[in-house]
Amino acid sequence: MAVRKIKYYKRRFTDNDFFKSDLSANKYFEQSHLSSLNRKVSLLPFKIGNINFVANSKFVEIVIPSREKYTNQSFPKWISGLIAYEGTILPVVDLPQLGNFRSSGEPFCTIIFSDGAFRFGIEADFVRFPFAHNAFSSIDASLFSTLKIQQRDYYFLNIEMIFELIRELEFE
Amino acid sequence: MSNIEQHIENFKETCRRHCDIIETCLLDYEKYRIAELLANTANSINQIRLSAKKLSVDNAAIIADAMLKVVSLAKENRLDLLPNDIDLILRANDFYYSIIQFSAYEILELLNSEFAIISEIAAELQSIAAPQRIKKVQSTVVKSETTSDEQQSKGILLEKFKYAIVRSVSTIEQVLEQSETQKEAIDVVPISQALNTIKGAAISAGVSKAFDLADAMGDFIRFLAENNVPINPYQMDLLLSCNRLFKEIAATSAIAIIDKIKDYSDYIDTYSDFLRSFLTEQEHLQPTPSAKLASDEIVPLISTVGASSDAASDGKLYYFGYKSSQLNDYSKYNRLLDATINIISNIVPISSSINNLKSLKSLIRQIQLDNNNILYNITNTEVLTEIAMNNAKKLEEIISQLDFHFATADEFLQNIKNRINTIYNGLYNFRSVAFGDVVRGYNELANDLARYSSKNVNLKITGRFVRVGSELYTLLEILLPQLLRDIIINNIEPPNLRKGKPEVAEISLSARTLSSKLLIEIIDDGKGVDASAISARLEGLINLISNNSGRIDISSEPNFGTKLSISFNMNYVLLKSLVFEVAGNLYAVQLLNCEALIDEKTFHKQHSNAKSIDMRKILGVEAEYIGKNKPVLLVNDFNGNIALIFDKFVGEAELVPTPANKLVSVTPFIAASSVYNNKPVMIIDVQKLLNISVN
Repeated sequence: MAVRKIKYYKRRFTDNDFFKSDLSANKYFEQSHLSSLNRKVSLLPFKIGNINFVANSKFVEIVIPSREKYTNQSFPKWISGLIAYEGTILPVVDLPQLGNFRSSGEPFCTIIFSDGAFRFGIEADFVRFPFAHNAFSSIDASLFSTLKIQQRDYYFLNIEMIFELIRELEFE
Repeated sequence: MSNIEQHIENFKETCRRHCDIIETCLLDYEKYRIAELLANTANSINQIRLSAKKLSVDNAAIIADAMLKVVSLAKENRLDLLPNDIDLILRANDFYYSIIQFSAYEILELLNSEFAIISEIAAELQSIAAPQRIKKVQSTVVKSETTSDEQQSKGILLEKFKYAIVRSVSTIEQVLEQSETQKEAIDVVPISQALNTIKGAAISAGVSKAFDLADAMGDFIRFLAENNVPINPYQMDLLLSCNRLFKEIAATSAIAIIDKIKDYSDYIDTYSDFLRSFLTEQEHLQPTPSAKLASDEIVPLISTVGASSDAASDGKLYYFGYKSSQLNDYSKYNRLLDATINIISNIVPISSSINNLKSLKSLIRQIQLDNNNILYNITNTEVLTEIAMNNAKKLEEIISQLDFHFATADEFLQNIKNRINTIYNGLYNFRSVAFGDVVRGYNELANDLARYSSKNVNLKITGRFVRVGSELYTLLEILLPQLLRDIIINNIEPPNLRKGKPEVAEISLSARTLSSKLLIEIIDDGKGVDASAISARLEGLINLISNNSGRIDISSEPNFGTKLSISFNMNYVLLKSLVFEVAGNLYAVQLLNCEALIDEKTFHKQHSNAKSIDMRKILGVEAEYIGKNKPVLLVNDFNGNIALIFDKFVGEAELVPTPANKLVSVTPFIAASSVYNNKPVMIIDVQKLLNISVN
């Protein structure tokens, strides 16, 4: 009776199969049977001026408070400047300039996007919690495509296209 | 009944104390596999087992017995404990651990009623110690179990070792002190005799660490004597500290000597490493490092030109013969080490001052108590005056003590700051070398090479203050002499063939840094040949350059000369720069290019004729800066000083440059970018800026 009270609270995790077996045979890493079209993606909503945007959050590295930028008139119009982050210098993309939107002028935070090789920032007024959504059914190949999520209009931002632009800019 | 309760309390207390030990020891054993941890575990299990036996309940000690069996088998190296086995023992350990939370009555009931669980755990433990898993007794095990005779003889050997140290240490100390006071060379014979005594005793007692240290000391002292190298104060200090270490080891009893040496093993290792490092450095310097490539390669080349082989074989052409002034290089390490030791010695008085401050705190507490007394005795004036007088005295004492301790702490802190600066500068110098140090002795080398090949050459070196990353030092030491030799022998004509040119040929060797690149140019006014012929001749060196991620461009014009431009990437080079602000953006100029930093008024007064460049205009900023007195930076140009006018001076900084990408280099005179105070800063290439402003 009393033994039931005993908790072996110090017993450790010994399920070594998790680490040992190879990926294909491992039950923990089963491949999803859903096609990529039906899969839900995690989206990061953010707002610039009056416009709501969402971006695929797999590219988001971190959101930091806005920083002082290095600006130069010879930069392309859609680059609003350079910021220092983790000892490196990143370009900040001027999204309103890229899509002819109006911005509030005083961005509060910078979202840093990364694809492993390149990084850039986008300044936003505020960022909300990410949510999962079946986004792919209504996305086309343009830079901004419209989405309706819970009766609200969003622009889905094609981050891969911006990476293409950045790649061209950084490689001579 | 009370007796049993007492036993149960004892049992609980034992469990409380030893279960933790068992757990940590086993987890550590799993990680590090140190046999001593098993001995600790076995000891703790035994304690639990003994106190469980006192309970006189049948089932209490069953698990502990099984645990002890497994652990002692593992301790004797007869059983390999697998991770799962350690888990099982830990589970069994948890059984005892969980007992702590129950009352005496509950524990008794639990031990009696839950026989099933107890026997299950015990059976599991017994399965670990299954006969097929237990190894046979190995011969090594037998050896480790020393008999009492062996133990006794070991004790005698240690006693002997201790006696040898005691006898030798005083001799060593005397000899060292004598040589220190009289500034003579160390007398080798008595010291090496003493060290040999220690070495012999250490070997027979099986104390290898002490043998190592004595060996290192002996080698070092013998080396000094054989090569007639004078000992410096730092090395003397090191030898004395080694001796002191031996003294401290000898101060313990013979049985504790092994433990003492284990405690000091870090010190022993460091000291012997230092002694050995002096040896290797000195040995390294004796037969100059590139002597191998010198004689074999130079002689045939010169003989083809026509110089006598006798002159060449006189060995004067060893490149590193010109670098004799660098022999004292190891003094850099000594200085850093000295500074570090000094910092540590300064920290001790600071910590004692802090301890004294703690005692002052207690004094202040006393005064607080006295103040409370004042409140109670507010009517009694006599007592009040007495207390007040006492307090005043105490306060004065506190203040004087505080003053004293602050002063000492301040003094020592200042000392530490100075030493840290020394270390910082030393490390900075390790990281990069001045180009002047790389090319030291090259003028003599060029003259000698010219003389042997019957030519007249004047070598002009510029950019001696350019910092070259330490990683390139050896490479340049191999590369530059070979290139110079090739140029003098193949590109420069003998004086009688230099028609229309001065008799003395001129070779210019220049270095400059551009962002994170080192550019070296060698230009001569020789005969000039086809660039492809030169590249074919220098194939080996070109491969060497490209293997070290460098690049070489060769351009040659017949009758006008040849130009070799070599560039290397330098990683982690710090650029000492001045940082300025223009229109909210930061720009940096390398200190190397700066002449002076003055204000606008002084500039107009003293350099009214000098040319000035307004950075706002050249950067295309339309608005004018409204400031009273802008900073003006004078930079050196070949035609005199040119002034750069910025908005604000931000400060001096050491920047780590990152090469410019397409975006940064939209402004043509920006060579690289960097980060300063978490803001981007652009590093200006002054030469390009001046060219642009002229055009």
